[in-house]
Amino acid sequence: MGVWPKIAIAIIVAEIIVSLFPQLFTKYSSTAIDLSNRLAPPSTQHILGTDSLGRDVFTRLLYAIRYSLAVAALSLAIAFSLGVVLGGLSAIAGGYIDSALSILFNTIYTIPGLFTAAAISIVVGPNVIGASIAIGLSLAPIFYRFSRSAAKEILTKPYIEAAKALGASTSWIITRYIVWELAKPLLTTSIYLLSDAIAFEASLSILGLGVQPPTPTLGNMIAEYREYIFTAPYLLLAPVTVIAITISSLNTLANKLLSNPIEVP
Amino acid sequence: MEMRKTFKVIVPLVVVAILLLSIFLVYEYLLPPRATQTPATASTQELQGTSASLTIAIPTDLSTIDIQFAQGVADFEVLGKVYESLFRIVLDNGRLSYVPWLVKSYKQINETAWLFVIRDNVYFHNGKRLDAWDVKASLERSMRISPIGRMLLRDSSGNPIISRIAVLNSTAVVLVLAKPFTPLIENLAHLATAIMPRDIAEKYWSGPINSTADVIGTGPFKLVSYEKGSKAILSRFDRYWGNAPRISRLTYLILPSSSARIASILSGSADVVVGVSPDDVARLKSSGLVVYNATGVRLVLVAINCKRVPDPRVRQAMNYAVDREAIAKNLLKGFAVVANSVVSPVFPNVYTFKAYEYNVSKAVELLREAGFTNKTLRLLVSTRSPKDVQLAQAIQQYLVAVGINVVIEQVEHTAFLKRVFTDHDFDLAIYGPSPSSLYYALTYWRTNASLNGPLYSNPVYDRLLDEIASELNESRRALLYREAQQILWSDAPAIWLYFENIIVATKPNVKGLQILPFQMLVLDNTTVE
Repeated sequence: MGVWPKIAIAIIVAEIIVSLFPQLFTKYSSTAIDLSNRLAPPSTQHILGTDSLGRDVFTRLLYAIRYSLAVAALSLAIAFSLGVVLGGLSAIAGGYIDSALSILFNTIYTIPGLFTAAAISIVVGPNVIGASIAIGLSLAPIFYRFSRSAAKEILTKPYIEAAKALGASTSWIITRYIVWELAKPLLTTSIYLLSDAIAFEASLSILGLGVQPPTPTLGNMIAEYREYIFTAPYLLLAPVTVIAITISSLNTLANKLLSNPIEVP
Repeated sequence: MEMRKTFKVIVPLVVVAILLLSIFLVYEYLLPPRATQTPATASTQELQGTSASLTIAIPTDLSTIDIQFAQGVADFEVLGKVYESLFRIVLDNGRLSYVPWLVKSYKQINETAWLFVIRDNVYFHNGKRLDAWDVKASLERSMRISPIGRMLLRDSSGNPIISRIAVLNSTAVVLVLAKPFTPLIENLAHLATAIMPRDIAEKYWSGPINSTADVIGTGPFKLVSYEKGSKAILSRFDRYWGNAPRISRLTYLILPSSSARIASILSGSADVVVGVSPDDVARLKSSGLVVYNATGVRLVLVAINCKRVPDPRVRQAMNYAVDREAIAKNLLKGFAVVANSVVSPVFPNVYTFKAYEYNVSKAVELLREAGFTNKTLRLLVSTRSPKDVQLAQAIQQYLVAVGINVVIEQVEHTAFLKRVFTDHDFDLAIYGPSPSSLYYALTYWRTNASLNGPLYSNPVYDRLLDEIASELNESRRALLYREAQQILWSDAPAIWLYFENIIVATKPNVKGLQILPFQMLVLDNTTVE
């Protein structure tokens, strides 16, 4: 394994630790306002300075990683379960079910993702759950299309025919062949989409449709700090760098998985 | 292996490229423009004396091109250069007053009849001369369909205040009122009652003007073009009756993002920037720009839905719970005046009261007395202003400290206006009205008034407003004004926060700019040297 994937894994593990225990790394609260200490430049007290309401930016960044990862993970889980289950169902059942589900997901797919997410977020409400559902639903068609076509392809393979001829049940075929065959490409897709979900969360927050303040997310921080690009440009740098690093790490990891085949037993 | 080698070359190259690009961006956009850099397109002649052009960056787009449908600050800023009313609001020694404008002289004939003599040297942009018929048609249209005109020129039950407009000759009209109405002059100074040609008023008798060709007023500037979301271009009207402005071409750039506005003046593409954030003032000054800090009438408040929070003690408690001194001093860096009155003191007859001082224990006590415990309120805030979103978080913290749980909900501005003023679907909401007169500001809070988002209703207050309208004796009227303001202050349908200062930055060569407290620029004597 090259050095880049190792760094990528280290970064992702570090971010997961931070998002599980942010309070271990800071003595401040992420939401406590101190109006008398606004926009303080970085110092030993506040290593990334304070924001427009006097909150410690480093602390907000730690919690932002937590909430952004949580939204990304939850939305991925929603997209994955919806897309993969219904995609597999489409492929196996065929007929009307397949047509109906395909039309539904293809319709969602033709609408730009951010637009879908924004519309859903308005309906569900702007909070952690709402944002996750919005992002999850707009990413679900990718899983659906992928798993449907992959499952269809596997079902036509000669060894499936052979298994059927030997009297294997449908459930056995699904668990023994389809799930195993799909596991790796789905994992890769998931990692790619996880970085999409992080970027999506940021976009939604900048539009004011994501998680509501004062809860910090990477997107909320960008939305708030872009007003200070001239007076305190370092504010914007922190969340932007974290988003860039996280997305590159996830993509590096996915690329690595893509180029190294995992043996399927 | 081949791939890995290529990779090793590409990664450092990309990193270097990104670094160079960021250095370039910083150099190009973030540093102040160098003195040697002059725009290639502007000829020297254009930058001099009488034919100067001026570009102003404003934060919001126009909501309409019909002056009588104007609602937002941008509408009045831009269309207010094109149109004029019978009277004009002027700032004199820090106080506002209402002076005759398109009217040469006027006289109150009796309690319910006013004679207005119109200037005979006023021309519309289409070359037609202003006459009494234009005045009659414009005022009738304003009373009929203008959202603000309907508030200014109708009474609380919706009946027109002016029952008849009689044209005596081409320059004289008599306004016959249904009943005595003392705020008449100040309401005729509002641009919602602006004068337009009679044929255009009649053409758009039941709907807003929808063609820029029909945007015709008597003002010092003509509308040349308007591109939605981008810019409005105005040019000097050569047959203007008053003092001709020195600016020949006026461009309004619509730039909602405050950093984009700052960039526009630093890069030299704008001469004037409206809506500067207090946090940017120091930087603009250090770049050699002139920063104006003017008193504003915009009262920033947290409206409290009186149907959902009916107990005035709870609303008073919220007023005690917020440290507005700290907000004005720190969040707004002193570019705000703490509200000790319900309307800005620049208007005549405004009274200042004993402040709701920051007192957590008093707030807690009032809440306990009212039995208002373990409640969650939703605080609605428009995403249009990032400052409002910050303010919402500060308010949330203050209210949580006295035991009121607050959930912030950001909504897009149009949805915000609908939720607050049409559906009344909110608990708390941050906004800031900019009234044109004291009486008009007080009518916001009348029962069922269209700008009464919080659904405040007090019959005593409503009756006082009617009494003010019909009280001809000035000192008795002042007492009634005082009483009405006192009721509003202590009934507290809002957390009265502060009056926001108006911060405008200009290039040093822009001189003679005057700023009205409504965030309106007066360009009468403005020059670009």
